[in-house]
Amino acid sequence: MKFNFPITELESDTFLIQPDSSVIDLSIDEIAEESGYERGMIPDYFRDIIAESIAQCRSISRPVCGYRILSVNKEHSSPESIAIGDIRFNCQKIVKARLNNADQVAIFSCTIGSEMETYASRCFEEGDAVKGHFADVIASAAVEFLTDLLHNHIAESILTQQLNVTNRFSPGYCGWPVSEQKTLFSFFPNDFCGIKVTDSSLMLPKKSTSGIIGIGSSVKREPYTCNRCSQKECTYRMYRASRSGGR
Amino acid sequence: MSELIEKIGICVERGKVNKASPFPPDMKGLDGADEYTKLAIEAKTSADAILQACNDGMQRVGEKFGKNLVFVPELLMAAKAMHAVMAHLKPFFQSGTVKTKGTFILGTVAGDLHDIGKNLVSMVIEGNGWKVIDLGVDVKAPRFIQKISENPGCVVGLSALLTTTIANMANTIKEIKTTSPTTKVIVGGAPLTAGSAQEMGADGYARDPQAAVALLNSIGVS
Ligand code: B1M
Repeated sequence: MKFNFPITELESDTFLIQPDSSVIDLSIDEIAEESGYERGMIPDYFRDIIAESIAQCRSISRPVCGYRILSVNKEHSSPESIAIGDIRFNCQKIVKARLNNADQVAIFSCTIGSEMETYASRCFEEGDAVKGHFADVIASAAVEFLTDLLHNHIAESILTQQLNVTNRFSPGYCGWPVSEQKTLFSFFPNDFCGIKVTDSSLMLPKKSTSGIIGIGSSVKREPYTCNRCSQKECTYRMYRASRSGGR
Repeated sequence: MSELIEKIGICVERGKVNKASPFPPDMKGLDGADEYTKLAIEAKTSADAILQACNDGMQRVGEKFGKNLVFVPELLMAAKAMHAVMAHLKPFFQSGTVKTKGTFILGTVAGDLHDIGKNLVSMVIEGNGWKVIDLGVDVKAPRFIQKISENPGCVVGLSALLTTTIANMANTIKEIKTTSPTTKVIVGGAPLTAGSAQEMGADGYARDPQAAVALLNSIGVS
């Protein structure tokens, strides 16, 4: 799916996109599978709650995302780090290996706002933990969906220059210290996407993502792989692998 | 009477809250935990026996969850059915006829905002007969220490989902143990292992809510 929404260039090579919340397109089956159920095995009672929460998410979320394109300073980079000017991201070997051939990077952030969080908390407070739980899961899936859209948009926008994108990687993944979230946000204008970074480097609103995407003529996007992660029992692992053909 | 008790246990296990609830589909239209508990109390069933049936029901659904036979929503429905029972038992707790197993103070450690797993742990432990004080997310050590002093003999549970907050967890344990050496602290969360829990001085590690219940029941109250 494409973004059919105005894209604002805030500064040179820094873009902000505020799509309508109806852009969030999640399916009941997808949420059910992400929750652990095999296709078609989720009880109808839960299907109805999921449908209601998806509708709620499409109506109350406030999606905002943006990115900045920057050149890689290859001389300053190392097998464990990637440098932008004088600033190094210590993204560690696994991430760096996938960014090796990138000449540029897009650093990005996405959020769906705090409305779904508040809604989920209210459901819990009112004693409807199942609804609260699905609202939370759907909100997480929604921000991932938005991040997918942004990723696709960036890929399309550079295609005319015969450039490709890599997978996306986030501070906190694959050994990349989450504390570098602060460094990542230092490249954005203040209050970018309305996201605040806490002292412990987490983003508020909670349903937010950030990361880096490599850009170059000899980079590629591969199926999502979880096999290097130590969380063998994770339901997301099986679900994601089945969705992208990776493992 | 024992039939009623058994039914309460089954309703909790299956997450059948009350007659109006359409869940689970094969019990639609039937009485639920709410109605059976009312009947059991009218039939002068001891509150302890009702509580035990709930604990057994929670235990069974927890085991199924541990084996991936059911998922978070079923666990939450079971907790909801358990709450329906608890609403009827409240007067017995207030009068002291039945007692909770102890007080469990739970929170996600400083710097961490993840709470889905912690909330589940909270509900299952409460469903198992403990009084749970949930301090929320991003909880700093002094807050735990304050609550411990207000609840002598409590057990503390710490949750973390980020590798970076494991250090905060270790520090929290250290601070708790400094001010309150006999307080037992258990930990859980995706990046932890039994080994790392031991290294940071925790009294136990639970990989899921059911393991946390087992651990708490084995630790008991000091
Ligand atoms: C006291 O006794 C006990 C006993 C048992 C206890 C216990 C206490 N506490 C828990 N348990 C246990 O019982 C529970 C039930 O079985 C279990 O609880 P869990 O909480 O583990 O399980 C829940 C029921 C379901 N699990 C979850 O809800 C977490 C799932 C995963 C996929 C996840 C999700 C959903 C999200 N995330 Co994030 N996320 C991941 C997670 C990967 C994973 N598989 O864990 C993790 C935690 N995330 C990570 C990261 C890095 C991030 N995330 C981010 C974003 C997100 C989403 C928004 C997309 C979403 C929601 C997050 C939220 N806070 O709402 C970012 C931060 C967001 C922010 N606000 O700052 C970001 C920083 C990435 C970024 N830069 O964008 C990783 C942390 C890495 C690390 N170890 O340090 C991560 C492990 C993913 C990964 N593969 O690397 C057990 O652990």
